[in-house]
Amino acid sequence: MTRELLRVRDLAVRFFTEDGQVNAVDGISFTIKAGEVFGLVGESGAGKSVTARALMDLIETPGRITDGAIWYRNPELADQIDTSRAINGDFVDIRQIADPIRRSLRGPSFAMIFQDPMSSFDPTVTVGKQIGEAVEVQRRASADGHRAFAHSREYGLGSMLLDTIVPTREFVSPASMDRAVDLLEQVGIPDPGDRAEQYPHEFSGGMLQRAMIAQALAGEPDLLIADEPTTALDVTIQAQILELLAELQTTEEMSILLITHNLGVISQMSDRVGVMYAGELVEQGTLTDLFEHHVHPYTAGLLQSVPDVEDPSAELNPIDGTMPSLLDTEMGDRCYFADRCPKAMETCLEDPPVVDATSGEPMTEPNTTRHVTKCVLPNQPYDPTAALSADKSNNTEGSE
Amino acid sequence: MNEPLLSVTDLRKYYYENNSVLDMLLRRDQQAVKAVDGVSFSIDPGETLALVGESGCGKSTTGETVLKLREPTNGEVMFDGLSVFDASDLTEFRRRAGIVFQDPFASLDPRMTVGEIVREPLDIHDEGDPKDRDRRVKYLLERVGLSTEQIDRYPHEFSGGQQQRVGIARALALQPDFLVLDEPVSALDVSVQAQILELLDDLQNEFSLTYLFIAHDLAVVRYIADRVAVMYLGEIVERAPVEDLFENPAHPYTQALLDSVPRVGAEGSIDDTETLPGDVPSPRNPPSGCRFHPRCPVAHEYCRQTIPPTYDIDTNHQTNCFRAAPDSEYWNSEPLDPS
Repeated sequence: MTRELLRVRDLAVRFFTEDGQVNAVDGISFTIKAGEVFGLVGESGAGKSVTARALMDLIETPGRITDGAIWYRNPELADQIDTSRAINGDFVDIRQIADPIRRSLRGPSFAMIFQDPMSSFDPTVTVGKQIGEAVEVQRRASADGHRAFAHSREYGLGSMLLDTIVPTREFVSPASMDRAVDLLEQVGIPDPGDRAEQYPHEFSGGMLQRAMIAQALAGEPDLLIADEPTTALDVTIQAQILELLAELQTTEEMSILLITHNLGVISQMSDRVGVMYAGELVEQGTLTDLFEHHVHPYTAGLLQSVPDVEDPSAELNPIDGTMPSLLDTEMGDRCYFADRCPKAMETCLEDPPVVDATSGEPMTEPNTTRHVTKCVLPNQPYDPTAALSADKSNNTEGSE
Repeated sequence: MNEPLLSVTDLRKYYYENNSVLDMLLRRDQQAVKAVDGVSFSIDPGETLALVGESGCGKSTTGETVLKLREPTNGEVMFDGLSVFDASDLTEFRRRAGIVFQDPFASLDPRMTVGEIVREPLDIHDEGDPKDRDRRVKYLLERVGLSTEQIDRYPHEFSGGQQQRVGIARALALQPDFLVLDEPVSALDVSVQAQILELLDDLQNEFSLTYLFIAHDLAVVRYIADRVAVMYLGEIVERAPVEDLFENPAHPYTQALLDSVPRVGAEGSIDDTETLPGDVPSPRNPPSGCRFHPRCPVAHEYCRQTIPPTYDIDTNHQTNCFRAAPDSEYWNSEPLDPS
């Protein structure tokens, strides 16, 4: 069995807005093994991107990680940390280490690519230079321990003035520029030398997504977080990018956390999959577990909502209604899917436990490489006589 | 055979660049961006024709030009005996043909309640008396799956799926015969997408509507369409009944498009798919000969020089690829290097 790279335990992210507290991610646990692709699937607003940003420590106010632990396996890092509660064997809880060290993990440990490549690049700097910067930061950091933060370039007024007065003061060294060109070549950009001199608007969407992947590779990360990497692209370009990601995952030996709403992309890329709904992971397991032996009615509903390219006779069977509001005051302690669930029962008005999907045994220590679900069904087969009646389900009719 | 409800012949829509007065003074040549370049198709009553292609291939421009929402450069559109581009009065045509747009929020006036939005076409066309209009608005909202209590709410109070329902109700207000559906579900989540697709299907049966369905998602197309036209760089490259197209795609671009769709299920991975190299070329400067030849896995030298004509595979299935003709020069010319 391959080693575990990341153990996320009971992670909760809340946003404190004017309308009240929003439980964007509500206590989720999952594990990513070294060298695997973990897919996170769900509808918009389910909390997929917030989960990814929480791992990268990119949650901005009014949001905050309020609970949970993110255990990251890195023996070297564990040796350097002296806070004992932040260490568990080779694992380090990255929520409990000092800010500068956590920041230094971005790049060599975790890297992220985003949905919209066009708005993720600075339009005033050439693509090569932007990738070169990422390389340069990593190069200086590895020359000087985990202190990349001290060398991160400042984009303030002072730095701008200095650049104007001292024209030779260039942050990106020629060696890093060469490496940037190599990276562009590695992600399949033709004429990488000339392309590096161009600005983002001269690239097509697919090419720019390749450039963003090159930038993420600069630090040789252990985990690449890909947040809807192909959603903005056409199908033929999407296929190219997915092929590239699959190839890089093998050559670079990295893990990928792939976030998407497209079940087809998930099927082609992932080893294991987690399904998110209203801030919770409602079911997770291997690809076969999820697509052929799924237990949770939401997973089933999601699969039946997708028209099949191969089989036109397949009926669509959409889930009625939409996801509930995530405002704390409106949520209560119950299964959030009960209102839309075709198999809702009286017991669903209580918060369902996380259980093994086949045996129904509760998961106390969430060893979540198994097939688990947050549903009562494994323990209590659907009984139509105990079905949840419409009036009790607090059905918010009208708000769909 | 039925008379088609809508037939489009040689539709062209060019956008010109470098055509300002300054450019004329400097004697710069004006440059045409050929967004739609000679598209012909027809739709029978009650039928759904899907227009498929990647972004920038001209499918939305086609849809909007057919309704004369954009001024055509050339071509003819006949709608039930009426020549849309030559007619002086389009009021009757506007009543009978409607459109649903891709972005549900951007296509609804944020300062009007949904009741007013759905009622507006009735007011403009002076349908019935005010009481009838109120009744009709309420009926329409209920028919598309909204509740009449929501009639005084504003678009931002609705979810994306509900906004799209409002857009559909507005398009149905005048009891049209023909709707252009411009990517009506691509901005929606899968579960909501399925709800809207079912609704469109039901409405088509109930009101015997004819659809021009513009989409890039082939799975959606297979679900809803009767016939499909595949567009590439402003041209239709293949036309076929939906089953025929999915089972026997004749054009290499259609084949590539079908192969690129990620399949849902536990089997198969990205390594098994053949991906198409390169990007869609710019319509400013389209490739010579067959426009697909730089990306085509089976292109020959002949494709680079000659524009392929339309070949009939059978009466309903046409393709613009030399490979459909066994006696074409294509087979004698050298294969092009795929790079």
